[in-house]
Amino acid sequence: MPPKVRTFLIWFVLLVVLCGVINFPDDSLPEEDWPSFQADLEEGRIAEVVAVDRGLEVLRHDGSRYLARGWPDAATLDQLALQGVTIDSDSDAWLSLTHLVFIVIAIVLVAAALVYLVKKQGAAQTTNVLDMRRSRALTLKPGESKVTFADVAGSDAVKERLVDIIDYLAAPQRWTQAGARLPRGLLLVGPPGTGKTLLARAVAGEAKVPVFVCSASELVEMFVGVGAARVRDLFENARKAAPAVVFIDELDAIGRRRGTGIGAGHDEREQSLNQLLICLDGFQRDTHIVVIAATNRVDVLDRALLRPGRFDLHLQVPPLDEAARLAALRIHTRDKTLAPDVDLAAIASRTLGLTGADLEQLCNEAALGAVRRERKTGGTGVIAVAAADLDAAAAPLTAREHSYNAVDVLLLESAIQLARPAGTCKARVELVEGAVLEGELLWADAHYLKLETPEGPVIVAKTRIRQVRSLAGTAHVAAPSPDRLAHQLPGSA
Amino acid sequence: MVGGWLAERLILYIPLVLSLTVHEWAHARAAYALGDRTAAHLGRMSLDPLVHIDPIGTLILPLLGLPIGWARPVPVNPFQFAARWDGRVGMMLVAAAGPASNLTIAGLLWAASAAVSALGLLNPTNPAASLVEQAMTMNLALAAFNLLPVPPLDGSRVVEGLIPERFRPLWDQLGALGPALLIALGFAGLTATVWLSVFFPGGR
Repeated sequence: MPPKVRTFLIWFVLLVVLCGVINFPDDSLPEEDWPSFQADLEEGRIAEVVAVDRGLEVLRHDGSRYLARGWPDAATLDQLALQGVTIDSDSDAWLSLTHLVFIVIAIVLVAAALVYLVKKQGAAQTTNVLDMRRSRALTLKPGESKVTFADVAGSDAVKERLVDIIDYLAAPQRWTQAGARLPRGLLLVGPPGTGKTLLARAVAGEAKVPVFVCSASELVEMFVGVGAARVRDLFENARKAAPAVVFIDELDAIGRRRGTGIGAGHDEREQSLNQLLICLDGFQRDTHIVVIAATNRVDVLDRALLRPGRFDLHLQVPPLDEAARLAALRIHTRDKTLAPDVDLAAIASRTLGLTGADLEQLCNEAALGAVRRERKTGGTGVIAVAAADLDAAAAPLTAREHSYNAVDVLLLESAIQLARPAGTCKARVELVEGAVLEGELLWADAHYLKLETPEGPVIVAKTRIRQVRSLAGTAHVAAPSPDRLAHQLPGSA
Repeated sequence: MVGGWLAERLILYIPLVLSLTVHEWAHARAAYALGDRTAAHLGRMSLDPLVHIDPIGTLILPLLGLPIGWARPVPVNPFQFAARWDGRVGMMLVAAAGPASNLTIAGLLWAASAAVSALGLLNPTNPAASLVEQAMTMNLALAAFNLLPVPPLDGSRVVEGLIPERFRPLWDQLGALGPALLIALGFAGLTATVWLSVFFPGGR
């Protein structure tokens, strides 16, 4: 209903109701003052009186009625009784039907308004002491999350394990029959942007059981004990809903190694961690809750968290390889119209090192660019993302890598103790993504190699290297050198 | 009739809601005329009572029998006013538009009843005539109440635009007491009503 029509209807109905109420037969009685009532009484014209809240309703013998303002005193009552006038009181009229309806309507309206207010306030602020102890985990019922594994590109090994978990929770007999115990906890480990949280959302979308999602930082509060109470509450809720999945994002917020904090290592965060340890594997074992946690700082986690029985399984969520990047690009361009000149495979091969989040940004930037272009040319119709848009969007992301290299040359060479091969050493470096670089090895440190390739100097993170092979000058490299770290070059022997 | 006073309240309730609606619409319309689209975007520039109703001010208080009420305030963004309007002056105009609309309604009702009685169309004792009279009084009361210079009432916004800049901090400090002051005034009014009904029973 259009708003104007609604407005008109409301006014119309209200005014009609108003007119209807006004034209209601007016049964109010004409009023007379007390002396005239007395006069009537003296002359015996009165047949009946009814005491009402405003005075006396009087019925004369001739059938006319009026309301006398005032109350009879004892003498008047005697006189009335003497004349045989019926005296009645109208106290029952309080329960007359119209009255009742009015009262009920008023009460309902007031109650509804109060309920509405309380609800509105409840939504606005829930920081009373008892509420604070409650876990703020988001409960996703089966099917509530719209993300599925089809939306996650790459990470196939991880997906396989997660599918196992989902299957176990849905049909445990098959697994228990084989004597298999489900991992109690899964830790998703991987650099930022590789899709750990996305995987968890996909679990929520695929699982046939409720998923409790919370961020570890929600389990730490200003007041000692509140976080631990929230952990308990979280697991309490999960137990009630079991079988269930609990997902804790950014686990390092509470999982940091104990004993490193200020205050002799007894702080709020450690209480939360202790509580979490107990909930994961304490006396009360519950095999129907699976805990999935995500972190990119597995190195700082408390060892008690990582032992078998707690987070048994550490799943590396790897950076995307070319096939996964292509899959990710397909996923992120599903809702966009692509021009025929777009070659996603070419972009995938070019965007080495970009994470899923980067690729999503790339696709979105391309779509924004396409709209901008169309708006400038004033085109109408379906806006298609062209290859040029994708290139323009990819430029800053890949340029980030280039500028990173340029800065690093200055930064790293001056700031880090470098290991240089003693003499010229030509190396062939095979990257995880399959690309191959060849050139003179200039230096290496714990994390990076610098190569002088024919295209210019390149710094390569060791994490991206699959294999390094010396092409020439091997003897120099293998020979004992004063640089400790040079020995650690993978595959340099 | 026993339910009389209650029915009377409920009859008056309809004009009250409509008057408050017009009041809030007038704020929104005035802001729109000065260039501020905020209220319009929020759908408040509408004569639809449902978008303006406030649970306490429009539902509870009037039904409890208090002769005052308010609706949800219309948000105004003085920075959106057209360039030729000073923000202070604009806010004053927008604030004044509400009570002005109630005065206008009262005037129209007065003109209508005067015309009707002059033409002799309606018996003065007819309930419709008394209803029009009561609605007129109510609108005058609404205008007067809203023009009280007590935050957050409209009158305070007008005063705010008039006082010199250097008294603004003091005014803002006093403004924090506004709601409490209003409640106190309300209780005073309620007490006065009770006293009046005790000492002058029958008179209303």
